[in-house]
Amino acid sequence: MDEKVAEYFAAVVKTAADIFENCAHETDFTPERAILHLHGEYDSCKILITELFSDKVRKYRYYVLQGSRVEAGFDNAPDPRAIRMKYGKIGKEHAGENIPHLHLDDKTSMVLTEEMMFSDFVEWLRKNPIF
Amino acid sequence: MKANIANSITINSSYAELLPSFHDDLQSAVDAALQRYLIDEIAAKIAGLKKKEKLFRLKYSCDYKTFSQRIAEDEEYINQIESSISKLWESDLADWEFCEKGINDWTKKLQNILLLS
Repeated sequence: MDEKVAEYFAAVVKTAADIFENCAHETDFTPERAILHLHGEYDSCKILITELFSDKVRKYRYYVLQGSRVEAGFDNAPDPRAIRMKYGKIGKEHAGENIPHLHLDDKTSMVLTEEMMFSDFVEWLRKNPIF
Repeated sequence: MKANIANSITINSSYAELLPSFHDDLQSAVDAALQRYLIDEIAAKIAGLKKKEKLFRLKYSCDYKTFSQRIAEDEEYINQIESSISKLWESDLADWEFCEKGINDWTKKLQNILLLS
């Protein structure tokens, strides 16, 4: 696996350990893929992070949870609701396309976002001390 | 094909002195030992990924291909998943992809190593 991915994971883990309480992580690698799972606590919230590098594409999931309630969830999954929001319809032509978006209010609302890196998520947490 | 690795490896002299008894040179003995080690390690990786992949199949009652296709096209299916199985399905999707494709990655490497024998 790409050495840069291992370096990126190491940087994410280091930053997370500095700002989250009770932080723990695990990584796994194949010759073509790499995945990072990380969880911790931020104020009263639980933070769940997944970063996957697969077929040279980065897929991220950054959740802020209060119990089982999803207060915020940044991800770039090919969610058809995000596809509809971006293109006005759900069609075969965009199916499977990774769309950066943010879920709010226990996933009852969604907004489109720019592609997020872990550092952007940390910045967002610092600017949104609403939890 | 041979690769020169900059790091040197120390071999226990009590092992090295036994090798001539088996008409083996050190290089072929090390190659055989590394091959066996890698086969065991890769087999363990594949077994671990298969176990995890099976848990996702049970959780979502379908295979990865079906899940990834439905989740990408069917808004009603997502609503159903979020209300009855998991609101964090995006994370499962990433993890499941790693397992599904990772099994193939390691299987290919295992086949390559077995072909060397």
